[in-house]
Amino acid sequence: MVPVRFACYRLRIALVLGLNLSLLLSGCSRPAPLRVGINPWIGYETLPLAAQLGWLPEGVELHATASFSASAQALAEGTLDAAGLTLEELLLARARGTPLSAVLVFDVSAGADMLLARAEVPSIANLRGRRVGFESSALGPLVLSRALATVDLTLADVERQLIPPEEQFAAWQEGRIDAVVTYGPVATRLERAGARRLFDSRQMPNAIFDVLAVRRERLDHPALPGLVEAHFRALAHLEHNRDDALYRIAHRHQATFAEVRDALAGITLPDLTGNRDLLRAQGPLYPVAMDLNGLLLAEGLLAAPADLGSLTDERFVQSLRMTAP
Amino acid sequence: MITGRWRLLRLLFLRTFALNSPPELALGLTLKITLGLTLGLTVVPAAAAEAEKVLTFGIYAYRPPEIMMQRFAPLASHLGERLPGTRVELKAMSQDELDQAVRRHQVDLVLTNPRHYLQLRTHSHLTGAIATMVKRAFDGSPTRSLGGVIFTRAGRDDLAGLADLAGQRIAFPGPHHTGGYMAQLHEIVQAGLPPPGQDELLNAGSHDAVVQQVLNGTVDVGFIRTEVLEEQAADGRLDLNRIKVINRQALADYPFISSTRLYPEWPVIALPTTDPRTVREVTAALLTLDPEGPVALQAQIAGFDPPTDYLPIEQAMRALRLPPFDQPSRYSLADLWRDYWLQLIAAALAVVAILALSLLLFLRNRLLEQRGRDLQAHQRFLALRMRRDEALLRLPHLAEERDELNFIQRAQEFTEDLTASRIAFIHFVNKDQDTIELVNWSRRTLDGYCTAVADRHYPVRQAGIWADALRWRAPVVVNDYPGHAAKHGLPAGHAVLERFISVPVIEDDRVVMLAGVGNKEADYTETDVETVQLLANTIWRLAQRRRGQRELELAASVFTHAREGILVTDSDGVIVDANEAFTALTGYERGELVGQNPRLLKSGRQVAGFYAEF
Repeated sequence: MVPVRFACYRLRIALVLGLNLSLLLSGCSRPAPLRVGINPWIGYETLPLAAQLGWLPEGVELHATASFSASAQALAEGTLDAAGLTLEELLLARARGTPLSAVLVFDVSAGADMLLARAEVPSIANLRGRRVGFESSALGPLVLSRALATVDLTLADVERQLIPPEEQFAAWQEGRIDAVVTYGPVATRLERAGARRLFDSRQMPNAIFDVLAVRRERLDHPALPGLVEAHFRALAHLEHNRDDALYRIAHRHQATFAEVRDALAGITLPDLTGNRDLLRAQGPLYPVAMDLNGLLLAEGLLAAPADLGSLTDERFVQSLRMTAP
Repeated sequence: MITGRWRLLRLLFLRTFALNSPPELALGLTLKITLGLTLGLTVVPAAAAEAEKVLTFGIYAYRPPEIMMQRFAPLASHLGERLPGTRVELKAMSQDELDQAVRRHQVDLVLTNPRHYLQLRTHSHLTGAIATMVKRAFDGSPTRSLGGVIFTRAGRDDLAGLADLAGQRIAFPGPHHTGGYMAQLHEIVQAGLPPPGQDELLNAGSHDAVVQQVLNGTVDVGFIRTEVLEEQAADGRLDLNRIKVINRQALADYPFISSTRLYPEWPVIALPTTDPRTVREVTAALLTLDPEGPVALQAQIAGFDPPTDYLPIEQAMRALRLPPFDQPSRYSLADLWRDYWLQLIAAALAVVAILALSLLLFLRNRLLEQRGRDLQAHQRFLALRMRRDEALLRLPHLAEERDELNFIQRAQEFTEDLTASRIAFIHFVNKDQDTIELVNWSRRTLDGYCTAVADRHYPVRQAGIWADALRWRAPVVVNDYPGHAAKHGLPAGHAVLERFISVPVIEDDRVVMLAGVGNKEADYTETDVETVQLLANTIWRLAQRRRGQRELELAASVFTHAREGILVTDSDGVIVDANEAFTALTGYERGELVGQNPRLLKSGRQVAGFYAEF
């Protein structure tokens, strides 16, 4: 009994010393905060949720961005260190020279991304020659081309219009578009306004991944492991105390409990085990990225196939040990 | 068991009775009464003898039981209607009563608050929640989440956040409440703050009392369940402007103000005694209850949902160490042994093996080191022996080449070198054995230490402990001169002495010389004594031989050059030698004389007897 206690005591001394040392060191050179960009996408809600419950580590700043493309832009300019991105945005940003790696898979779209059309466009085939709006990111063309491919059409067969998400509802109301590729709250509002769903990501399973992309030179930021842990803690809260989490998410989006519940139904959120599988080198994410490469090349969004080296960095999900929330 | 025994007694009684009755009647009575008794004792305590099944539905009466009965009676009869051949009996009970009833299997279904559910679960094996109640708020909005409110009087600007609660008097409706107690404490603990002490928490007994005490200033802060404030405001009992909510949460369309995160509403629990088919039917009936129907409205609920996760409640209770999680986990050494005995034994064996091997290695190393040291010492000894032998071989030459003092000086330097000493001395002992004569300090001694000019002759009794070698006729080794008790002390200007060896040279059983060295850096050893002794003996021998030779030479010179004629004979009178004066005197050549008897010199002129005397 005594030796055990003694050992504990020594351990505690070591811990206290270590803590003091780390305090001392952090006092000497506090690193610049890790700036994390989040656009209004339901899959990223774990991070604001963690922030609200006080689980984000010191040294992390959450910044709201307007869209995926805005996040990608800020990452390229270096005004953000990390951001939630779709896998195809990640590929494009890397092709443009932003050194990014995915350290976390937030969600996989399973119906949340959709092609909505007016009643006078009853099927995908009727889209030929129609005006289709989408955000100026790679996601729109991806969903649209997959939808058109089901009826042997290509993107060239429709009139494409770049409309950022925050203007899509107005564009619809003003009759500037016949169909739109959209997601999230805008999709909910449009469906309520009578838009009909022609196609959604349930028909393209395991194709749209949302990841936490981090500039590679910030991969050793001391707050990053804590950020990843906070995501999984919030995910556990979302699983076990779903109603509380849903009310909080709804509040952030000025939406209702039911709307958030419906929005969450459109995505799946891989847990830690799922993340470990998805992020491993040459894991399931790589064939998807190869497919996307082909599509982006065909669309002319990429000049050459994107290099897939260090597309993912699994160290954070591998080293994480989850404790009870 | 008891039932069976009773039945046996009754049967015996009836048999006795039957003896005095017509057999048919007795048999019929027996069967009938036995059946009735069995049913009465096992299924329905109220002794209803119908074939109808009774399902007891226990409800925690957080409000007065009659109010609860009134609210939930329609639900009970609705369930009864949905379950063929079953009557649902409703019982509103306190938590303690409900605990007892669950333990005695007197209830089949339970509706209680989530904390109580977790408590019950630890004592009894429950099948788990089959549904979660959806509460209908006073304003008609449905919710299956409840939270806690932390509030104070309006105008208490000093109370802004959770951190300001420290030291405030806090009223709460009772320790069993989820939204009136647990939720608030958990929120405080989650914020990293210490929970309020027991003397700061005042059990007000009810939500109404909490609100009252906050408003009249008896306490500073109140804990109540979500909805209470809004309900009282709607009834006109409370002006919401008179209170201030602390730590208000942003919860979108959740219908009430909450200061805490939300927790699931009450569960309906089925006990394992209830038959599975009935459980399914009850669950179906609950889940399909019309949220807007009269039954739901009367119960102030909006139907039932599939059971939600009650883990958040359990986690909060564990974090707060609320019963039944208030027992500190006692993981004793015995438990450790039981769980990990194999690993512990393996670890112990490994430790023992490591220790044993380490010890072995240590001993081995020490042995090797010792051997290395021995070898080095031996090598040093051999080298010394070689140098000593060289010195011993050189000394006779030196003795011939140099004068005595020079020879002794050199010999002392050898001795110093061979014993790593810095001083050396040699004393000759006079024949009386009482006085000694300092022959020499080595040059090094004189250069380095000694400036004293002392009498070179002095009695032994005045000499210090170094002269013990003379007294004891044996070598003296003193390795700690300054600490030596018998020392005389040194005269001023004398060589400073740290340690020394003094050895006697013995000849004809007489000490003739004392030789010594001193002030080696390390302690003197047997080898040093041996070296000094060897050299001292040689020095004495050579010095003596030198002196003998000199005497002989002197004598020979006297013989040769004397003016008197000298003739030397042996004991038989045969002439051995004659000096020049003799040959000149007598005219005999030396060759003519040697071997002759002196009588050839007889002249015949001397008296008889002259030659004989000669």
